[in-house]
Amino acid sequence: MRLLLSLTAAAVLALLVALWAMGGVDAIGQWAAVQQRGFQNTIALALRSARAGESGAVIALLGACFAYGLAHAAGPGHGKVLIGGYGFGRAVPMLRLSVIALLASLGQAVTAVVLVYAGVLILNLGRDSMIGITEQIMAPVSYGAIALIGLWLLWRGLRRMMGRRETHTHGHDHAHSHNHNHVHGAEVCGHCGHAHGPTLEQVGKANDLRAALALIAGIAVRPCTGALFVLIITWQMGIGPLGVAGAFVMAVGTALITIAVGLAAAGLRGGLLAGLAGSTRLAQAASVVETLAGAVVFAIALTLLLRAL
Amino acid sequence: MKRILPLLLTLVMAQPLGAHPHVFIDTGLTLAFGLEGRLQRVKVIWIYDAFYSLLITQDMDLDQDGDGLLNPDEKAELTGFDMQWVEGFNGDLVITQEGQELALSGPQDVTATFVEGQIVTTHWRDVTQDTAGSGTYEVTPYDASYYTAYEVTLPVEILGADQCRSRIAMPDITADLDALRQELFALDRQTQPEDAGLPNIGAKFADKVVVTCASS
Repeated sequence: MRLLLSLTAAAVLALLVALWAMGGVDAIGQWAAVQQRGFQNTIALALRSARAGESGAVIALLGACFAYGLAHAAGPGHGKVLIGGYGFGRAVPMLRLSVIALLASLGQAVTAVVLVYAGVLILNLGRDSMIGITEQIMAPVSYGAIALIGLWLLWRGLRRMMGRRETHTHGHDHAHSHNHNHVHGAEVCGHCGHAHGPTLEQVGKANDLRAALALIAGIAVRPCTGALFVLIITWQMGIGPLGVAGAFVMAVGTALITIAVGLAAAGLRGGLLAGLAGSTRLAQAASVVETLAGAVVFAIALTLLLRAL
Repeated sequence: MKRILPLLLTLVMAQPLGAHPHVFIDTGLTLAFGLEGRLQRVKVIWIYDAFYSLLITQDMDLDQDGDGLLNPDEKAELTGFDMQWVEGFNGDLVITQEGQELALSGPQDVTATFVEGQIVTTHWRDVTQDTAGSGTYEVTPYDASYYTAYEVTLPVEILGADQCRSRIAMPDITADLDALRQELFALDRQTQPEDAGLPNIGAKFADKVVVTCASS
């Protein structure tokens, strides 16, 4: 039964890879771009109405910002790769992963607000320079941070793979002639007194608060340019607070997509490894998964970083 | 290229990474024919998308009262904002007759208005070289670099030539073209398509207005 789950998960994974290889992901991104263009225009019109004080304009603006956030997140960026990679590579409780994704998106909104208002109030920066800063400094920083996290996942996975091999060479030469009343496929071996194969829970707990914070920071440091636009324009128009609300509503939109990606990745991981629960192979498989996830995250982030430099 | 307003940069940045095009213009055309069925003048109507229109009006501090209307002074200021053409800029319009490209004058009789949040500009252009009487014309508004996407969405008007008919040949999105679109999308926003080996990409995605005139 569990093996079936593993095979199904493996099939889904293979399907996703095939989809990506055939440009399916690009197609989604392209569709997202078309949607985004539509919402962009809606936001522009809503901003005008809001300035004119038309009733219903606020709702229209916030609704358009939310939709924009959803469409924008479906395209490249916004931490999908990182959250997905992390959820796939390490056993993270779904709630925790979702909270991380939400905080990362909200963090992007915070960065946008801070950048804009620091820019206009303190540094008197123009719109172009603020967006220039975002693209020339913060984007590379974000990609760099994500690449590092990918590397960390990769390194942990590799270390685990190496470590596993070492522990297997110990203590199994002793005779098995006495009573074999240990429980197979579960925890502690009765006669040798140590764990053979770990359970799913034991493998790779995402314990670190530090890891979570690194994830959030890596994504949040790069604000969404759509939010920047709304913030700057509303400030110019004298309806700044509405812009701040719009930026956060956008963040909620992007968060929904990112959370969905994270949950799907975690679910896929769970399915993939379910067939191996309790066996010695689980730990090995888990470390391979972690290494792979780390490698993919690192590779993608590095590509983005090099393009941005 | 049109005069590059600083906020064009902003527009670029606000788009998802590498997603050309950045400005969307609903285009209209009026083709004025003269004696013997020769194309003489062309009127071009550009309706900018709401997003870009907002950037322009904000940058130029227009419509300060936010009522969606421009007072005469603001209108005067807006008129011609997109008509400061750099030497060599073809006005993003190519007209051919039987395959031969026709020379066009610069923009004349320029207007600009603001309708429901969108900037609408019009201008006329003379066909400055002698055309060979009747035949098939192809009028294609497009930006070779595909920074701007022109879509002929308004009805094409033909003046002074009852024997001519027009139809719009939209780009045939074949598998190849779709792949090209994917490639374009994958470009970094800083990269020009032609640097990435995709020259004249705009032409491939352009709407072409084909005008056939029955011989008199």
